[in-house]
Amino acid sequence: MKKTIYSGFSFVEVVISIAIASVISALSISMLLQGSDIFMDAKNDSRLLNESRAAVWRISRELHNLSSNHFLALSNDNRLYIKDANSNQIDFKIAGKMLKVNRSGKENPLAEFLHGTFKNKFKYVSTNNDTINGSANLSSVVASEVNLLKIDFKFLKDDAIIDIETHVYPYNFRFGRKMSYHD
Amino acid sequence: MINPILNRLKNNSGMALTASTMFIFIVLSIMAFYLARFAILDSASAANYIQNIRARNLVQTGLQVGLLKIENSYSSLGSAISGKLNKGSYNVLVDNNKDEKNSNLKYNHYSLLKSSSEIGGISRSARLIVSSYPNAFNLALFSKNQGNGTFSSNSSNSISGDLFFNGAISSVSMASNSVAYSSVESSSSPIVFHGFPLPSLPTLDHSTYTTLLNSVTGQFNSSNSSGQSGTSSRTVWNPNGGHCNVCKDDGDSNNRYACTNGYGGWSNSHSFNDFVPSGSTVNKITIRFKGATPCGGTWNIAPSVNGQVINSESWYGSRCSCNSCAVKDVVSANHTNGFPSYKYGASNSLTFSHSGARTCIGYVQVIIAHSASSTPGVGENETINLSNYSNKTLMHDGDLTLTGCNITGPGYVLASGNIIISGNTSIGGGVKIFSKKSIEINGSSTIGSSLTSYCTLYGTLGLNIKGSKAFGLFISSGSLLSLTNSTISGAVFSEASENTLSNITLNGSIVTKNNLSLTSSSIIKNSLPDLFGVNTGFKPSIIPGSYLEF
Repeated sequence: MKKTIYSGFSFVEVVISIAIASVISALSISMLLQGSDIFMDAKNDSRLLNESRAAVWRISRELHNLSSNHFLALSNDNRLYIKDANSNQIDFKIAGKMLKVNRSGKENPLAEFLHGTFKNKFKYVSTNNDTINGSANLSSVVASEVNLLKIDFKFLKDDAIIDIETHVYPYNFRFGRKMSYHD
Repeated sequence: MINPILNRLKNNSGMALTASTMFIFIVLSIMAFYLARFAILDSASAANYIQNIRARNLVQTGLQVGLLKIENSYSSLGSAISGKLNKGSYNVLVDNNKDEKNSNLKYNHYSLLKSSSEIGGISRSARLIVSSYPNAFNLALFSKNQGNGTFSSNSSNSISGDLFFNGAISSVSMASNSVAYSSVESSSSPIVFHGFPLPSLPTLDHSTYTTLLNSVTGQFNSSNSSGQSGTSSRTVWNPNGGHCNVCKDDGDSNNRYACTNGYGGWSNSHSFNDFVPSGSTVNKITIRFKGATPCGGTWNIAPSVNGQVINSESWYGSRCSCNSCAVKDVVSANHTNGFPSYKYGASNSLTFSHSGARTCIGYVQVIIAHSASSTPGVGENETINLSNYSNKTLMHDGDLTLTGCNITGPGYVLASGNIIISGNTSIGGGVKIFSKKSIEINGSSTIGSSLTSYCTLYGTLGLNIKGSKAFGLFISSGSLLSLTNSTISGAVFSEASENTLSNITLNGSIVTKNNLSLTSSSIIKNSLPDLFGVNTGFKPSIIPGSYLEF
């Protein structure tokens, strides 16, 4: 009877190979997980940054269209009410961690990572550069004195915090004060 | 049991190692791919945000370019202007009729200034509404009240649209939703303090008009002739019944006269009323004398009409004879355009001098040769097409009167004197009427036909419209603005010290430098003639609050 001769890996070799592969895989996965964590952190930061940018950009864009400071009469610390040159109404509201925008009756979230404990605010600055008290709705007379809007927001997601404090100048204001006869 | 596995492993040498390596490689590749994808998306998001901001900045740059253009020349944006900046492009244009939603603009004199930009695939658009007129014309009524008067408008007047008065308002009657603004901070309802800044009186560049008026030369001669050609005569003095055949000796043998009733009765000053047919032009005047001269010499006689000497003639009388009265004609030169000093329709003065000490006159006749012709500066019942005039401009150096005429434009009617338009005269759109003195429109005349077919009137000393209908831009830079019993559509601008509106319906806007008086009038804020592409001396303005990104 002819004796069969086995050529190839022995069992021991295979076990050793698998062990090495497992070690390499473990190391790789560990590195990948670490990299993934770093990436996710960066991504979160980026998302937070983008969200804050988008929120500020949207507010400033809509505020550019504010046709008259008279229309700020319904605004306060937590609410920014804008009426543009086509009489479209845009309403920004701070509700907890959410910043919502309501345009022509349709409400959408604009940001969902506002800092929960920080007092996020819309601030109103007069022509004399004084900050106007917005704890209650601005009266028509007070609203007519608003010259600048100041956004004072803090965004938080996981450990990432973005603090935004910026002035926005309504572009329309450079063309003069809108009166009732400017229809 | 284990042998088949081992056998299989031995038969596929390296398979397990390769497979596991490939598996790890594929997993790593997939993860790397996703990582890269996230990174790219994130990067694209950031880039998009930046491009958005850049595109918006560029669209505003486009608007700036447009504003600068229309400030210099409102018509320069008749076609779109494109430009490139910061690796993007912008396009800016003016639309006179529609807004960004393709809806009609609210007023005829509004235009849409639209700018669009594109950078890296991101597009942005923005617009402004521009008025052909300065800000004050956004009100139904604006008064700078330079003389510090008090404005009063009783219930016989109606004002629809806001008004601004720079001073105190004692009473005013406003339509609903209309506001009466005052510069007085302590104003009480229904008067409202305007707040600062106050609207200002527009600045008018008068050179737009004065340059043209200073170029006025020549005369306007109507194509319609009037009057009659021929000769007319009138005896203006007949002291001796036309007879002078009796000699008279005054005792001096050297001084004998041939006269009917003595040698006296000499008078060298007489008057006569115009007797030529109406509308005729006096070309030549003959003064006919019948009489006798002192005997024995040559004498000169020189008659004058209204101070202007007709001519000077020698008149010879033979000595010591009782002549029959001789006839002597003194004839003027021929004046094709009319005898200068002759007064039509009025009393004329005839004087004559004689170098003789005494002259007997049988009679004096004035014989006038006249022709049918037009009177310079007067147009009656005719059709005038301004395109038939040089530079489409009808000029007259003096007063210009147009009665019952039909004038079609476009073109100019310029006069260095007053312009009077009356008798159902009709003036078509596109006609600009400028006077170095005053303009008066009366007698149910019609000026323009609509806000798109309108006229421009500029009276240097004043503007008076009564009993007529007018569409257009009306400017009085003198001492008087008077609008009575008329319907006016358009813009009225007055620098006059006296402004009176009585029984007027004004659809549009009125802006005055001084106070104004309203009686039984109605002012309704409405569209004004669109001045796009027309130089009127006013600068356009931006409607505050009209900026919009879309």
